[in-house]
Amino acid sequence: MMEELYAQQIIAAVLTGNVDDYRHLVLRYQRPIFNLMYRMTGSHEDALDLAQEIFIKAYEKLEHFKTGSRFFPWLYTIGMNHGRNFIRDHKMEKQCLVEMGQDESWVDRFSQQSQRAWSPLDVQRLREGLRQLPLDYREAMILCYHEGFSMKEIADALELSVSGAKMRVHRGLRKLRQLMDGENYETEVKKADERARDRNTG
Amino acid sequence: MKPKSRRPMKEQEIEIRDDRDRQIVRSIAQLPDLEPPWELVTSVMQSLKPKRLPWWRRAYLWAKAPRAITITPLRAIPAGVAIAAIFALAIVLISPNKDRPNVQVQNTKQLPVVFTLKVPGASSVAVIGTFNEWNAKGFEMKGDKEREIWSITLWLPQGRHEYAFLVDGKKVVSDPQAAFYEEDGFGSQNSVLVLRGENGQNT
Repeated sequence: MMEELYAQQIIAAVLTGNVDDYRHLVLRYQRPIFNLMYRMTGSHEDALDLAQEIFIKAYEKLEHFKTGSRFFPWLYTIGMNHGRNFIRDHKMEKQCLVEMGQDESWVDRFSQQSQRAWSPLDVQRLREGLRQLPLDYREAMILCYHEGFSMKEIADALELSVSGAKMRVHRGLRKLRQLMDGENYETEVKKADERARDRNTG
Repeated sequence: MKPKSRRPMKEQEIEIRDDRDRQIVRSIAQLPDLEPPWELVTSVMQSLKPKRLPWWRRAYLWAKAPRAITITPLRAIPAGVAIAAIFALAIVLISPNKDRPNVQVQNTKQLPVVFTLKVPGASSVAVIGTFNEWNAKGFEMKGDKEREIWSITLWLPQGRHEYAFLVDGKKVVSDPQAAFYEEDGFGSQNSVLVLRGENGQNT
């Protein structure tokens, strides 16, 4: 709440002519926007160029930002659309979650951060699973579980209804798990269904 | 800068079937981000030009922008005292008070006028006129019996006044020193006094 209040104050200052204050917004949101572009393009250079363009575009459209709503989802929506246009123009058939996780240091860091230690094989599976997910499913998962967006904000960013956004996240999780666990997934699902049935009957 | 606090995962909105689902969701939340290149901020800021919005639009945005208000006890006490004082003053000014003198501000400027009349052997003399609706009560003149001169000082508004003297309560006498006279319609003449400017007129 305080963060949003701070963002709104900065936006008001920028709109009244204090262009330098925009720096605070760029500093605050450059990481998720750069990472979004990196996930969409798989290129460090393209991600940098696109992230710059997104912040410039957001600045140009800033007077159309609706006061009282959250800035980050609004910025993210601009980013998504910009990334989509780039992919369309460059005819990129498949977006990928690349390199991230391929180096050992990332694997170590990730294992340390996880509450439960993951084996390098698990990290590899998650990375590969996210890479293979279609863009909208992957971003729905990232927005929901990584960025903490509400369903309404996910719906706005992905241009869906709220129920559509819920369905996208739900199906994304199922698809990701299927990609990660392969044949074991079907067995696990059957076991989970049986456990649920037992709970209901017992 | 990475978002410092993320809202809780939406397990209540999306079905989490088992521990494996929970593990995957938690792992996505903890995915480390790549560091954005340092030149990102610099290149963005160098590309921006200040906004040239019309003044009314800037005023509207300024008025609509949220502001953080910090209240500490040290600031709240004098602010509270000031607010209480304003309320108290408003109550005093608004509430009716019968004891308060009824002060009327007159827009019309008043000037002092000294009426004098020499009448030998009179027992009472009063001045009557348009300014007191020809009513002698309260407008009795003081007499110098040795000199046989009666006088009174009145504060009268600027403008034209007709007047006369009432001697011994029954005889109406016009002012022999008046500059102008006006027929009263009953066979007598009223004296006419015209007051203008800063100077009183001595009749």
